[in-house]
Amino acid sequence: MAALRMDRSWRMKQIFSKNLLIKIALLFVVTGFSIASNILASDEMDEQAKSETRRSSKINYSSFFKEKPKWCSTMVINCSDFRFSEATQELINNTLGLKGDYDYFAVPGSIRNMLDKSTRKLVLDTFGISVRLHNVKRVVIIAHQDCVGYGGSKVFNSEINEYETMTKDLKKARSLMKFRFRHLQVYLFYGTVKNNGNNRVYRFEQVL
Amino acid sequence: MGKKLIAVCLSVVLLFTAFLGCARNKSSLPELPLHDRVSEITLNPVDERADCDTLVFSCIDYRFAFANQEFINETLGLKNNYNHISVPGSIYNLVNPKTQELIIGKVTNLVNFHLIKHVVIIAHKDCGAYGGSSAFGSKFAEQEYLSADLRKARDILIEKYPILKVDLYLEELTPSGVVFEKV
Repeated sequence: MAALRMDRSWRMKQIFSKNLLIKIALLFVVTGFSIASNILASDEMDEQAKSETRRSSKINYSSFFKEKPKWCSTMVINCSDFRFSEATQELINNTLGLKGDYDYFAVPGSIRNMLDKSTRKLVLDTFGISVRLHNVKRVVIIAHQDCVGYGGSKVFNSEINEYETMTKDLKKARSLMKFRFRHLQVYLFYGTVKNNGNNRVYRFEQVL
Repeated sequence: MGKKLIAVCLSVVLLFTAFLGCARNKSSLPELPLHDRVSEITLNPVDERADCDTLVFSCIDYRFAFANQEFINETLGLKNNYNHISVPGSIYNLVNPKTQELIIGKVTNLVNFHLIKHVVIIAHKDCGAYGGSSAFGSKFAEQEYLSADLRKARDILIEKYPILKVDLYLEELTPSGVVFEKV
């Protein structure tokens, strides 16, 4: 009797375990499929949306009345220099894909006034207007070579020295921004120009 | 002893979770599509100039930022030939005595370095620095007030630098696009 019981229970266990295994495998397969289809679908959607937004050069202005009447995602702080205006527009609109979704600050010497102690409060207050009114969540700060706000390239001894001081100032600006507005993500860029035959090559390096 | 140990362990775990929670990136914003640290842009400037003589004053507003760029580049034909100052509430800062000093300092800096002769000032309706459209009461009052402020800004600039030529524009957002109007 005992042996029979053992046998039965063992068989039951076997069947049970087989069923369980199959069930678990099925579950895995189904969840895997659903996740994969989800990911693929979202990717396709993203690609479609991106290509559409990149293709259309015009902004849907009626969306400002319906979808997002009072907010945008990014605030761009740039230098006012005319040599970099077109390149930075290209960078922001096409490379970063932020068309129609950013507040555009242009101040001579971009962050110079923020680092100055006497005008720091005033400048941070003006940035605060954008944060307060448009609920900005991300900041892109763009500095460049030979900036007039600093007195041009001739103030610095060499190119490396200039690069180092500019990156140091940018990092300082980031810490100041983070201190005043905690929730912001800060991206820093440093731009340089080089002539290459007839073309001009603008190089924007992200400072980490 | 055992209870104390448990309490200590719990507190340590709580501390760690607090740190992790603080370090977690909670924002729902997508990352910027940056594949490289360095992004290169090549341009072929047709009419290259070493100097520029135009200064554009505008507001930061995101609804007008791209329209401003298009207007300046194509309608006014100033591509790659203008200095751009954009501050919240463009002329409000020039008229307001609190920030006037800083802005005029900037303008003197630019006039001295870049030899500017021509200034374009662009103001827009429903500006956040003035408190939006609702602060004025009616549409007509808004138009009048903004154009009066524009003229005041022109007077301030011309008083400081008599050689400057100043153009004034007022823009308005409509569902089909941005409409520019010369004052």
